[in-house]
Amino acid sequence: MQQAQQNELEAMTDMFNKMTEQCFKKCVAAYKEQELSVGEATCVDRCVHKYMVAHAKVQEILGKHAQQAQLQQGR
Amino acid sequence: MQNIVASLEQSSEADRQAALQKLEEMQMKDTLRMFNGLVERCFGECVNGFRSKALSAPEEKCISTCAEKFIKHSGRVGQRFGELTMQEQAAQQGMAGGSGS
Repeated sequence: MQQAQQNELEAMTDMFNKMTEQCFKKCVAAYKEQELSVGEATCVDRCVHKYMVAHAKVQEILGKHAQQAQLQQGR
Repeated sequence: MQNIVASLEQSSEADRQAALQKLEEMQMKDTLRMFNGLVERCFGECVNGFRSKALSAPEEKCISTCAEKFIKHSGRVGQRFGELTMQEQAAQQGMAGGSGS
């Protein structure tokens, strides 16, 4: 496997694990039931969506800064 | 760290290329790790309601501010770290009494 592909895969796995952790923390309130309640399941669905949007947002900001840094180095 | 730089200067062109490539790879991985950590931190801090699957305007604002601020924070830490490292290196070279090349 190419190094870049491997990096991407590792980053995706890391992101997935962090998202799982965060959404569990934020959505799953009690351990009385074995099953996810309807409310918890809905929360998880929304949480995953929001996490991905937040991911894209931060990516955009980082990209902007990286570009600025490159421009400054080019001077 | 000084030793690494010194040994790089003495090593062959091929070794140097390999070392630079390794360094680039490490930087890439570190950037990705930093990015994922940043998303996690800002999401954890800013997003608390799940009545909608879209980010609310305040949440979006919070995430932007969080990310921007962290980048500036990490830049500042890097700057100070660089300065202190340079000082330390200069002090070490001073102690060597200028006998080293």
